[in-house]
Amino acid sequence: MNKINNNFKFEFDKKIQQIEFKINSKIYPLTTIYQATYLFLDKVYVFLDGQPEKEIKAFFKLKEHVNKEQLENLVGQFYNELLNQVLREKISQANDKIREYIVSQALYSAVPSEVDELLKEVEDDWQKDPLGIAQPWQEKKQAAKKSKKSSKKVKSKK
Amino acid sequence: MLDLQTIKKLNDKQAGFFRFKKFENDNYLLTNDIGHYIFLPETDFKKYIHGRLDKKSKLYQKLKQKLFIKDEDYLKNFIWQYRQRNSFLKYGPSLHIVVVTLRCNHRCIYCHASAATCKDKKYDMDLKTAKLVVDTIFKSNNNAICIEFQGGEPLLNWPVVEFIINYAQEKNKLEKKNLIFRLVSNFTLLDQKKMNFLMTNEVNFCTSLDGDESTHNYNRIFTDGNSYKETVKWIKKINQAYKDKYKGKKKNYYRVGALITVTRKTLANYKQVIDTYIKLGFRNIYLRYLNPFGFALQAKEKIWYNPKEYIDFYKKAFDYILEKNYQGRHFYESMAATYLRKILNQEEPNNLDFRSPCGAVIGQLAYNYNGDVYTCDEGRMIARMGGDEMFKLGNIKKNSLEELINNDLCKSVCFASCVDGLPGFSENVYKPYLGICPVYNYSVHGNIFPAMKNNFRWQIDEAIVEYLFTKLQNRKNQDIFQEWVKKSKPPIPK
Repeated sequence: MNKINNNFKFEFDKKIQQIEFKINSKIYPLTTIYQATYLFLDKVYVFLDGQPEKEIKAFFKLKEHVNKEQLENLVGQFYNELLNQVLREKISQANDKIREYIVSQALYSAVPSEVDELLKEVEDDWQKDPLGIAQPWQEKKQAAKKSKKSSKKVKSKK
Repeated sequence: MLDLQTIKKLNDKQAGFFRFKKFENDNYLLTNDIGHYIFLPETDFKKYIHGRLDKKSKLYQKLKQKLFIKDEDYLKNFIWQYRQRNSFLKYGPSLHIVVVTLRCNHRCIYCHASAATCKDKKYDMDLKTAKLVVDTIFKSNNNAICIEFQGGEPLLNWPVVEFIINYAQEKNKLEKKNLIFRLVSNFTLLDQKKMNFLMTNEVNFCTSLDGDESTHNYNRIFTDGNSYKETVKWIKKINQAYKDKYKGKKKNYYRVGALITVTRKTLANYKQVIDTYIKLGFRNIYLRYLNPFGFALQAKEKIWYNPKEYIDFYKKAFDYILEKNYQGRHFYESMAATYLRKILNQEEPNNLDFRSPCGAVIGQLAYNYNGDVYTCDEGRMIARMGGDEMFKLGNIKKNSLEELINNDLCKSVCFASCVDGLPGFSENVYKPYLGICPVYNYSVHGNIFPAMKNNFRWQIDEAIVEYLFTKLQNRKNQDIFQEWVKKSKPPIPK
């Protein structure tokens, strides 16, 4: 059994070059353990086991031989990374909805959907007012009078 | 030091979403989804996450301005900036790579394109196919169109180059797109008549220059003469012609663009390589690393390096360039400038290899000599290597542009290169600046979704961005980098 200090406990099997961590999953949620271990994939092979509701066991099999100092650094980095991931997860959860809203507003609202285009067509047609619905009745009456007069003139010229 | 108690006190009403990393000098680097960044000493970092910063303080205002603090204008500003940053998503392919021939008169040891020999005329594009290529290109809904001639050596099929330029110019009289041409050539087959034609049509010249004569000629084998001398002769001639053409009219006119492919031979010669570029009047150098395509894979032992060797080289070369800038010489490294435009200006420079999602299909298309269309030039290189047509979209003789784009392959490469959802990226402090290449991943790992931590390219890209942030903590460097950003913007074509 190796120790970095009283807080950080891990076991190292020198023969098979494997580190075993026991992680309290009530303090470090499973997602943060996944994220932290992922960052070590270039240095170690990872296997996770245990009981997700209580304790997770993480097995790191080293890809290359390391000395004592390198081993302690690796363990220290992993514990720090677990902590970083807890903060990242908290920030991420707190901002999840707002980020979704930003992306949807920024990207989707800029691209007209088929429905938007159909609505625009309807609006355009309405603005053209083919049936003259939007025209006030006074204007309509005057226009009708004018057209009667002009048709009389045309007839008289004939 | 960060502890669980500090984390528990996170004020999520005030702190907007950010990613972070602790640097060796105990400063925390924070970045957000738009690409704003800030360095905070640990005490300020804790005050920020606990929401204990004085609202009147300069730091609070700075964090607010960079959208790290959720105030009344946060949503409006964030949405607008996010839309700006990702505006490229609204347009179709802009870069159209046309491989007019696979033949080449060089046998470069790293040739990514697996060029054919000069005698193999069956690898030339014919005029009928060339016409179809141009017709397809003009169907893109992007108003900015760049037709890039690639090979092989495109000058070996000059009639088709000439035809495409003339036909596209003619077509553009009606289409009125912002049309530019780019010729990627080793220049050894250039003559005065061709040069005049290309200059009249505002064609941009690009070439490969691997540095000093010995490094260049080692990498770029040319049996008909001295590759370095021929290339340099034309670089000087074209630059002089540009200078004469725009004298007194334009300050920021085109110059020949050059690319270097870094091989093992370059690693120790970085000073000579950079000095050569400066001596030839270049304002920048692109320290491009090797890609696992074509002949580069066969010559592995001769030319390859591991990520650490390349990163060490890059840092030394970068420091040497920075030193030149301290001495008053304006000269920049292009990959760094691309990242700095994202970091300092929150721009998307549209460098298709470093974008998320990458430029494959939605930003570029590669047209092979026979009309086959690929997601990108790298996709075409994969097919050329061993006949693996994984990235082939179709053929212009059979498929419309809509059929070429609206398919599962396009969706897959977009999905695979969108770093937002990829493990290792979503929490990475450098995520807003990084991009990945699914074709590269497929070539190396046999999978377009590999474990990024073991990825050669990812390790290098991440290290470069990290190095830039290390350097950005120095005020003097910040001013130099701003100058690089300004200089690296391409001149307006006409």
